[in-house]
Amino acid sequence: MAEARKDSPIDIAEDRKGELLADVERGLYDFKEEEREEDFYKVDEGLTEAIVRRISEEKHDPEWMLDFRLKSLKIYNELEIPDWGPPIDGLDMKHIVTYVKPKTGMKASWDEVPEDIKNAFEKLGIPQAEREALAGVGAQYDSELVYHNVRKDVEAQGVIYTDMESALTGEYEEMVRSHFMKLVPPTDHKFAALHGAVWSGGSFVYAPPGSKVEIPLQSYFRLNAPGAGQFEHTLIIIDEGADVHFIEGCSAPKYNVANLHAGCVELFVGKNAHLRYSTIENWSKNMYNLNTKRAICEEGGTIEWISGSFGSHVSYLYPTSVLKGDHSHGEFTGVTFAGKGQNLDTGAKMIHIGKNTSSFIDTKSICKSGGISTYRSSVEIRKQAEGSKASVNCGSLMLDSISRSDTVPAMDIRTDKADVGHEAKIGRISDDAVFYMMSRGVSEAEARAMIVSGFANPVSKELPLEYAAEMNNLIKLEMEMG
Amino acid sequence: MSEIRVNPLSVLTWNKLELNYAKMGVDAALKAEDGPRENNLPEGVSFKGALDDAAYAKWLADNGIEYVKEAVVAGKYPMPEEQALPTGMGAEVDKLLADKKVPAILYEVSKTIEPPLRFDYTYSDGDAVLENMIIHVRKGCEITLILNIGGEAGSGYVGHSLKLFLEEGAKLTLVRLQMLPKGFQYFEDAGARLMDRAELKYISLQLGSAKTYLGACFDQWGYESRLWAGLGYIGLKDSFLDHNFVDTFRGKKTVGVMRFNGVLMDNAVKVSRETLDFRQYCTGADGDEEEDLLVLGEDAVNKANPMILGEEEDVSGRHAVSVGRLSQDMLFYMQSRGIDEIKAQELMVRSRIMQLASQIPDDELKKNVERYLDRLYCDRENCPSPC
Repeated sequence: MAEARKDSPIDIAEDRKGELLADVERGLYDFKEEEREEDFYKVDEGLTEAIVRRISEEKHDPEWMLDFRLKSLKIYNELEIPDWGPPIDGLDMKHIVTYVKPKTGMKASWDEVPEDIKNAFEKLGIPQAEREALAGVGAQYDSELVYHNVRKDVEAQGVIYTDMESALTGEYEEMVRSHFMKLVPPTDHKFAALHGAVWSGGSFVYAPPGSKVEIPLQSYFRLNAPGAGQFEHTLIIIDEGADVHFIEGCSAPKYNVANLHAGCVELFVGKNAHLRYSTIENWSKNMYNLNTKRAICEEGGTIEWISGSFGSHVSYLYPTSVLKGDHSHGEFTGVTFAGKGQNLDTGAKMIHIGKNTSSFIDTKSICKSGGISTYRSSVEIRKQAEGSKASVNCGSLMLDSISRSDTVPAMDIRTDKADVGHEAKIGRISDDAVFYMMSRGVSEAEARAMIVSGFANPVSKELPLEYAAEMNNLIKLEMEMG
Repeated sequence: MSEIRVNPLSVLTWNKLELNYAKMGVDAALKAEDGPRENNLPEGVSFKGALDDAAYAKWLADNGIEYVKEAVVAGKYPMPEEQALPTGMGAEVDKLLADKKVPAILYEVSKTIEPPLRFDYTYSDGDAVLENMIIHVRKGCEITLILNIGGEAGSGYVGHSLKLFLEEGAKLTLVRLQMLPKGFQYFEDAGARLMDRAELKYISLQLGSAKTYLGACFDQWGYESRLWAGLGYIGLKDSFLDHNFVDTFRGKKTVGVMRFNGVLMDNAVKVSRETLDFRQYCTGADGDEEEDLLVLGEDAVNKANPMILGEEEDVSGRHAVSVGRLSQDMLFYMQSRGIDEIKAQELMVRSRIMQLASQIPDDELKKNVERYLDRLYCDRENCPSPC
């Protein structure tokens, strides 16, 4: 009986250990940099037309973008909150600050970034990651990018990696205009409309035909202000035959008020191009993560999503791949770890439109200490997508009986010339495996953590070493903290 | 025709997929099935009366069956249906039966019955009939019951609702064979409660009717209760089939197996919802669900949502779906042995349906199914060997 277990002396001791770890270890992500009023510009709480106009003015939007924002606001006010997912009753838009801008411009040199912001990113290891592993880095603090840099060899190939504001107001305005929220229209759902109205920050990448970025580009998003929202927009266009790996990381300190992340990622993968998009998400556990990610692939294009979801109080996250071109391919590999107080609703969508398209979804869900983890997906194979193949594989690991794990996959197949396979499993950590490891001198806690890490291995093995190590640390932390 | 909401998904998902429930038309002329209820019952099976709403409520209370308010599940809402004895099609079918004043015909099995008991239902053109039945199998008793539903050519509307209560150690094999003419609309609902060590084998074979709604909810309350459920169907031209099968594991060491074997031809549409639902404290439960669908129609539509819901750690659950055309390797193998594509398809269809039909403990009905399959391939174009 779960309740009896909870009251046992061992569990009380475990709880205390968890609290201690929460105070100490979680500090890696939970540190708070005090924000002095004079260093930041904020709009008022809530969502009104005046606030939207103010954001647009602050960002020096072209006229069409202001119109777009206002139309999105109208749509936002007309759409209903989803009735099918985890509860978001604790999110009150009247108390969310939609724009918080550090009073510093975007810097190309790390030394020029203000000390307090630099400290925050230093603690997260961002410059170190840049030095050691990355082709380019963008760092967003609250609503705007504060640092951006790209390696010269990447620039030399003609690859553009810049912040969205520069792209929007500079020479790429037309390219942005023809792609911005075309894949995720504001009518898609209420929070896409919200994003369209108040978006700020984010990255723009354009990879010209044939370019190959051998090492990843990275954006790191840090939301530091309490009661704020982050609405960054990531727009990536990979032209014919190009190849890019993009990584995003997200974190925030924990506050006792709700924070909101409603970002939007739009990925355009050209003919025979390849894009890998990796995310390690570790938002704080007061965060409502209502993010939308979508990719479209032209003929022979490939999109690969790698996703690790560990943080946030509530998540709605379903990266979507639209396989429009013949022979295009989509892959989603994800792990979700829901601990105490978390309700993470994650998964993927695959839409097969072109002939001979293929997709593969491989997900792992882990839940513990009352966490709720839901895997939700859909595979659509349209009538014209003859010769398509889709495979879905999802595994759920429950670490106790006060948690919940659900698998909600859907399929809609409209051609007789397709092959679809789906398999799902739910289970627990095998006692035999734990016993085997303990008989070889591994403690029970370590054995369980190792088994969970092994369960998540399909994701971590796809990440660069530094990120795989971070993900394993997160799993270890979650296992210890509960 | 008015509409009611049936086959609710156990947890909600994206509304755009139109899988959260189905809308079923209801014929205004529907009325209760009539006819003798006590004739030819073997010793040990007794007709206990036609229960109105109050008598049904008393029967539920006498047997300790009451509505359990469910905890919040994956999504935002509790389980949507408020039924003491939940059925796959949901509460609105119960309401329809109440509105139409269709009494629940209660049969009680108080002895192990060896030979299968068969109820034949033959419908005629213009029939609009609702049947509502309860089978109560007493402690340690065993029975095999076959509901054989067919009819003459024409059109009509038939709905069968069935509630099953299996006491400790009771065993029931239930076969529902439906071979109505194409002009009929048909629904078939079931709700079962299995107590300690009870065993239910549930076979549903759907070969007729152009529009079919099926629901079954198996509530495994009892320790070591066991379920085996199989559904077989063929979707022909212009046909529509919507089903919702739920296996709820509540007792410890419960075992549930569900198998779905189907064929879609021409422009047939099939919508399926299949759920393994592991409730807290069902330690040692084991659930296994598999769907195998052969798609032979260019315009066929297949929508599915196979789910596993878990709030207990110590369980094992698995579901697998395979959807596709006739394997090219298989086709090549058969063609290399002189079997053409049409014949190869026929063999695959036959094997799927007969796999389930062969488990019907009634030779006459098995032959009926075989004859149906013979006719099916004769009726289709390009039949190489008209019979």
